[in-house]
Amino acid sequence: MRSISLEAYSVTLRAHRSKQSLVLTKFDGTHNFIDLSEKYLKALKGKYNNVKTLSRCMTLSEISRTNNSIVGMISTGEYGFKNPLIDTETGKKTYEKSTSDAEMEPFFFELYIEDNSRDGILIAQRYGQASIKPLFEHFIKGQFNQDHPKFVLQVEPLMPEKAVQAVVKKGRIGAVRLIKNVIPSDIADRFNGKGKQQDGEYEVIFRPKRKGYLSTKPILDVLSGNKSIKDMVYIEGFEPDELKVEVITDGRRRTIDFGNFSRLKASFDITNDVIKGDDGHPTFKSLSRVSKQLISDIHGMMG
Amino acid sequence: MSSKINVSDIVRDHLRTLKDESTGRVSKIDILTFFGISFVVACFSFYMEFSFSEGAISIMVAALSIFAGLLINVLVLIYTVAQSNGAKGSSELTQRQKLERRFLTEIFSNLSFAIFVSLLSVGVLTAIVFISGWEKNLATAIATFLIVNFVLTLLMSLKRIHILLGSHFSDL
Repeated sequence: MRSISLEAYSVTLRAHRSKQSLVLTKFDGTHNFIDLSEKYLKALKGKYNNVKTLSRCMTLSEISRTNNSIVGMISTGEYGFKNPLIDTETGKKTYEKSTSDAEMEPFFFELYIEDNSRDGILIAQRYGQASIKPLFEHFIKGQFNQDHPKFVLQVEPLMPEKAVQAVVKKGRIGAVRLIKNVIPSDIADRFNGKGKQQDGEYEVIFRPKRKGYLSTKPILDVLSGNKSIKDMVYIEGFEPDELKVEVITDGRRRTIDFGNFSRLKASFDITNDVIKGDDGHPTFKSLSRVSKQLISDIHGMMG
Repeated sequence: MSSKINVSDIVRDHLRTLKDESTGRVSKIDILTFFGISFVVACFSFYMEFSFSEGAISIMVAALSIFAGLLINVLVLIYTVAQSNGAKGSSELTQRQKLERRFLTEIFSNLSFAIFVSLLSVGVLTAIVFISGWEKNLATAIATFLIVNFVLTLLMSLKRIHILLGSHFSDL
């Protein structure tokens, strides 16, 4: 059975060539980004928008607005390939999906922006391997850029250091990997005259024994800046350049790259937290409830 | 002035090779080696009011001119090696081939810069013959800077060509 998860992203706006994030509720002194998003999304209701660049069709099936958030369901499906549809009870083909047919599935989203805040939170549903985030971002960015070309909208995975700390505290360490890069400083030394490249990496892996554990304290010390990687472990002749930690939370193994926080995603499996409707998809009401709790938790993590 | 004699690309491309391969950033040690040492020796020669005799100038001009000509031949050799690696598009190259292509490009930039510095040195050395006084000391210091830099760049290029051709000999 496919897992259902909600992924959190941060939403920011800035002017072109500026690094300063703007207040989303009045980014140009007049417009509120959440009002604009509502306008763009409502234009989809009752219509099918064909996003040819992504070979996807989309429509808005539900939308609800409060002062600080928009909650809704976007139905989307991919096209461009043929598939037979089989009745699983009789084993017989009931329909041949053509290349222009798109099988529409509903995906939940919530856009939350506090008053006078420079950061919004986008919650996007993932169903197995499919996520609504790329399509949502593509659509909103496309509409926004047309109306406000002087501004840049950014949607980035949300996994700030505090949230990483929360993950490490909540989970247990599966493995600690210390990596040393051995790329020489001169490109010429990457060849040894015998046709063999010289660079690579050394990796030292620490894993707990079956009934043992690895303490999270050293990891948390590195995260908070109290210690460096080199302080954590001393092996003569080995000075690690990178630290990767495998954390196991709720049965899921997640690798945190301490050199690459920006690649982490805040992804939360909610398969057991939602109620399935008669159509087999999670209900809008249950998704909305879980999303609101998630946003509240994220704010709690970020302090 | 005509853009045909604008060699800023040669200088820029050479400076871009002075980076730490493991980090991709400018290597301070390389900058200190190639420009720092040259600068220190030049300052020393200016302070000591060092000067080249006419005989020494003529020998250096001849040597640098010959080097410039030989290095141009080596550029052609590098081009030949690049051709022998195949004319595939970058999407078809293996990791090693991409690395080798980048290596060849760097050697090419280093040699071009060495030729440029040797020509510049010839010009400055020639000018020394016609000037006197403190300007002569300054020109001598500049020539010293250029010659030391040229020798160091040549050493780097020699090492790289040795490794490059050595890797091809092993394939025979």
